[in-house]
Amino acid sequence: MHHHPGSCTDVRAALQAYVDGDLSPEQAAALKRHLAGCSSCRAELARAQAVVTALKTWPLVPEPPQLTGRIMAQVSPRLDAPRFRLHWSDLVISLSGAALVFGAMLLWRGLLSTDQAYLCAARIALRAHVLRLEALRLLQRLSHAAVPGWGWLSLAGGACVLVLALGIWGRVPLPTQRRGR
Amino acid sequence: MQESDAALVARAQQGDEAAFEQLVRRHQRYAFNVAYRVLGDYAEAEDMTQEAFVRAWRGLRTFRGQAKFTTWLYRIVHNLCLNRLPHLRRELVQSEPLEEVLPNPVAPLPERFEAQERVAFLHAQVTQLPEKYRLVLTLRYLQDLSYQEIAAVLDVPMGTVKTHIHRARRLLIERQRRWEECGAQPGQARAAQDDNSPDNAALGFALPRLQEAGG
Repeated sequence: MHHHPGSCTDVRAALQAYVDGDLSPEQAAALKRHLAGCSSCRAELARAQAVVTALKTWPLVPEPPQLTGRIMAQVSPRLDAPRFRLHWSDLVISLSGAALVFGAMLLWRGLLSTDQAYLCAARIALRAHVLRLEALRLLQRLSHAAVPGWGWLSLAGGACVLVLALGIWGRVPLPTQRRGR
Repeated sequence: MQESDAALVARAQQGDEAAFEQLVRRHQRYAFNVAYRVLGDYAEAEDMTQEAFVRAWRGLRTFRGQAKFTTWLYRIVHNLCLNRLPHLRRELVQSEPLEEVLPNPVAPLPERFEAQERVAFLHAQVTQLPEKYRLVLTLRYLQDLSYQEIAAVLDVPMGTVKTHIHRARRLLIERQRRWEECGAQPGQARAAQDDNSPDNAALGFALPRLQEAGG
């Protein structure tokens, strides 16, 4: 910085700092002394001041009216389209299920490999087979007892009655609930 | 009473969208104008402002409040500008001789120009400055950011910021001079010699007293 700007070159180099108020009182005083006798530098000062005035009054352009809404639409997850996200819980449940099935399969294989377990499995299968035969025999007896063809109809009717009975029973308040009233 | 930026940022960091929306409403015009002045394109400036605020929201947890929210926001806008204008980074860190960026001769001006015309002329000229100058001038004069804050936004030394601002203003002074020389001899004469203009009148009034006071 020039402490005693004397020439026009020195003064013009310091003019912007002068306009910004960045010169020391001594520097500003020396600059003013020069300006008092130099119309050319005074014109330059006027230009520098006009530049600062123009920059300070540089007009703002209005932003688009929907800008806030558009920004917040991207910010707010409520307004976002649902995005795929893998949760740890999903992964844990899936892996646990897979492990359970795999374990059950291994267990089943292991059990079948022993004679005792094989015998047990055979008994279960036999029981199931016997039950199936008993059910078939019962159905056959029912169909013979009534008019041929009515067996299935009576079975369906019985099933409906049973379902209705269960529904009514479900709507009847339990004794504990009655007490509670 | 208006809540401070810091308080709104603290609430927004806890996930308060209403607080962030207040920040958006408060600063979107300035952010938009930074982008618009650098890019010179309304639609692109809108996209960039939108992107800047979304990035700000997503990165809010990393904002520690060491700088002002606006400084941080403008930095995001600036980084987006750099993505859009890759050459800007290089130009910001280098300073070419002033002669290389002096403008072409400007169009002839009206015969008479008053202060308002001069300012209007300068408003038109400032939009034709190189992008880096538009950027530093915007940051400096849009919200009175200090040189230090501008340096933080642009990630350049403070001296570089001062140089750019000085040169940008120098360019505008030169453009005025050429404008005057092009076709406004009477106006030029008045600007240079009319001691009744507000600036010169004040100076002319004050200087004798200063000289007297200084002996």
